[in-house]
Amino acid sequence: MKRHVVILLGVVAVTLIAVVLASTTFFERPLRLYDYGTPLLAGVLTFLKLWFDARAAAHRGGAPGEG
Amino acid sequence: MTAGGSRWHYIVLFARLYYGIHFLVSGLNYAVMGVVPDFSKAGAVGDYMAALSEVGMYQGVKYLEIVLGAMLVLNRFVPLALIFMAAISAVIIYLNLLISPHPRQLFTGIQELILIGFLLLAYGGHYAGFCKRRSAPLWFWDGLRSNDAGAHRP
Repeated sequence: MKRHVVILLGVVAVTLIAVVLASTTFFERPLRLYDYGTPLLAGVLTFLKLWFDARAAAHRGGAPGEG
Repeated sequence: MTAGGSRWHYIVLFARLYYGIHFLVSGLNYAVMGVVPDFSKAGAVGDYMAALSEVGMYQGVKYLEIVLGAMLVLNRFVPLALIFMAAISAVIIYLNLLISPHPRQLFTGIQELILIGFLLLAYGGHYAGFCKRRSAPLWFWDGLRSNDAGAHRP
């Protein structure tokens, strides 16, 4: 569970930083929700799925993402 | 290490949702909000988009984006959706990376390239049957039937 959270957090954080930097050309242009909102929402939804899977796996005694 | 295996499972899910929402928002922006990007500063791309709009292709692609985006978000027929998305993305990538000079288009082109490239790799196993050196004709419905027969039932 912890490993999944760390990996996913890293991927989402790196993606968000890259999107913010690239879409604003290193803050030369304004930041738009249209650009950073998509990866942010996708990240939140993925974390929710991970959380639900972890809860279900805790009942089964397995690890999230397996099977 | 498989694409659906535990290490990659949530990364692929993140990329699928990212790309699905990206298409969904792009299509809904046009269909619901009536947003049409200003292509007047995009040089030759502007002329191309205007021509697409004139014959109704731009509008058609926007509505298709809604359907394809929903397919990815809801995890329905993802490999099929990715084939159509790859065709749309190829045009976007070509125009935004090679034709349009604007930095915003450069970002969009790279974003499309990375997302469709990664997702096609992650779901690429479903296309492995396309890579046969020699193939006999096979009707689509016959292929579906043999897929069903070979499917693993849990």
